[in-house]
Amino acid sequence: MRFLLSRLVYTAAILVAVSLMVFAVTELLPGNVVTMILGTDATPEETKRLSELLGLDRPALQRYGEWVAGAVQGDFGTSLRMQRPITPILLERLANSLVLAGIAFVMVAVGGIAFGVVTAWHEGSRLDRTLTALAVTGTSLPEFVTGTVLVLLVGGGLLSLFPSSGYNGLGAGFADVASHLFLPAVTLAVVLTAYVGRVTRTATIDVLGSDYVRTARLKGLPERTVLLRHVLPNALVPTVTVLFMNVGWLVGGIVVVEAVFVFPGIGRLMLFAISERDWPLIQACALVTASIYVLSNFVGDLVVMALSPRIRHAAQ
Amino acid sequence: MRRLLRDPVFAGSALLLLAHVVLATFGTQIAPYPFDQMNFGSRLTGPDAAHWFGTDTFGRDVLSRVLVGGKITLQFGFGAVAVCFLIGLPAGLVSAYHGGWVDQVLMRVMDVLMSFPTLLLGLLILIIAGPDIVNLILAVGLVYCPRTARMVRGAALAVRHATYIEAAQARGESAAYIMLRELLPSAAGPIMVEFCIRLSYAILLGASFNYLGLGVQPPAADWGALVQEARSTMLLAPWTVVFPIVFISTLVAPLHLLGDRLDEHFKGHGRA
Repeated sequence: MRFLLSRLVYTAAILVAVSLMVFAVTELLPGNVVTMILGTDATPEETKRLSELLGLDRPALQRYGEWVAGAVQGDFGTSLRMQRPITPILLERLANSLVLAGIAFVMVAVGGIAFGVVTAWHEGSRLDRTLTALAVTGTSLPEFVTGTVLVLLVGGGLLSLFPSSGYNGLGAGFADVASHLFLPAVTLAVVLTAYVGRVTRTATIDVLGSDYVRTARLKGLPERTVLLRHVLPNALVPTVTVLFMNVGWLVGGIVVVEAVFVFPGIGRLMLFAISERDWPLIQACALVTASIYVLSNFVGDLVVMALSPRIRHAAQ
Repeated sequence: MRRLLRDPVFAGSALLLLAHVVLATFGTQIAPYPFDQMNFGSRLTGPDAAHWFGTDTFGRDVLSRVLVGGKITLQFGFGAVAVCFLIGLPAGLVSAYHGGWVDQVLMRVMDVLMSFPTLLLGLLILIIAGPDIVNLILAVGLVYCPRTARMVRGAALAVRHATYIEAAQARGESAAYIMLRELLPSAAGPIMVEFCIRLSYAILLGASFNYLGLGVQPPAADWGALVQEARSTMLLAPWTVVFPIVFISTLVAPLHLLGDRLDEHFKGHGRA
């Protein structure tokens, strides 16, 4: 309970720090925001009127307070560029991104565990060495490279199996949604799958060498039963741990993946906001993204706590 | 070291890395054409004798752009790692040596920096600072310095209470002496591993920013920006995108493999 409470306080403190940093960005933006909107040849009266309209003539701390209070209630203000309230746009884009990230997460879990168990089962073989080298390569390639290679291979280059852009949201029917999500999700999943796979491999090898697995084998149990009943449940603890500890990784990778596949998610919304210098929109996207990251790390901590007896008992 | 060099993966990776450094150093001189010379008479021509890697949509020589791009890529890679170590190395050493509240304060600051997704933190820094290569180096270096600091701290803590450190303290050596002459050399193995891995991540992240258009500005282009430029032509003229991808992959993957092998090597000797 103490552990949970301290993590909760810590997470709250980090969220405040994150919101301060996001707010500070617009304070530090080169060139006055007003000049950015009006251009350099605006009259002093126009400048004054707009800064009053945007509330920029009030102290920064007061504006920060109002901004955070609004954000907590789901009001992120109005987009300068689109002249519309930010929240509905943000929610729609966020939903798309969460679907993408969720599918990538399932791919990472399934792919990583399969990879780890297969390589550990054949430890030292040529298959193991090849797959492990592939995994190191997989962890080291940037998303824009993986994504571009996939497009060249199956997304319209050599073969045209999957569309490389044009996601229309969940309303477009299962086949359409699945085919549009496939390439972005695979691209997003590659790096983490390779990483989770290597962790699973190490854990499985450890368990395979343990006394209880030897006993199970000596009892004459079929290999399949040994694997499913004795090896997997124990080997999966570190796997699930790294899986949840790295959910946040998807949050960063998704920005690049959305750019590669022109995917209408929150990452591309932020890139749009940056290129248009739409600062309320930049703030909103950055705050939401960073908060999701912080919260998913928090959930990761909780899962790790639930799985690890040492921490659980120390916490009680 | 000899055993490491006999490992084909290690030796191959080291050779590839060396080749990249040589190509990048002399890239501008080797390049057959100026990297920004347009030629609208030969747009999107495939690889041939005049243009080994073909030409892009403005008729620019892809080989020349890839060679010059390699120079930019290595510049921001090494630059960012230098920033990482300039901040992370002292922070990690001081944290491990002093412990107590100094350690607490330094590590909590690093925690806050690490509570941002790396890409988002870099984006925010680049929005404030504006897109160019120096800011790119600073952004990537700042984003990754907490990880370097933590690693150095961990490696130094492992030997913090060794007898020879106590001996140095008993001799009355200064804190700076002990950190630089005793702690630092003992942590050399993990630091080498960190250098390789960090360099590969720095190149990866920096190239991603360039891909998003937030780093070096046209007509200059690193490999990330080259892949971005070629987006609209890649299906029509695959060579515009394949060569930059081959170059960045053959740089980043070997760096990772090198770090991996070094890590195993040092662990095998009980030094990590």
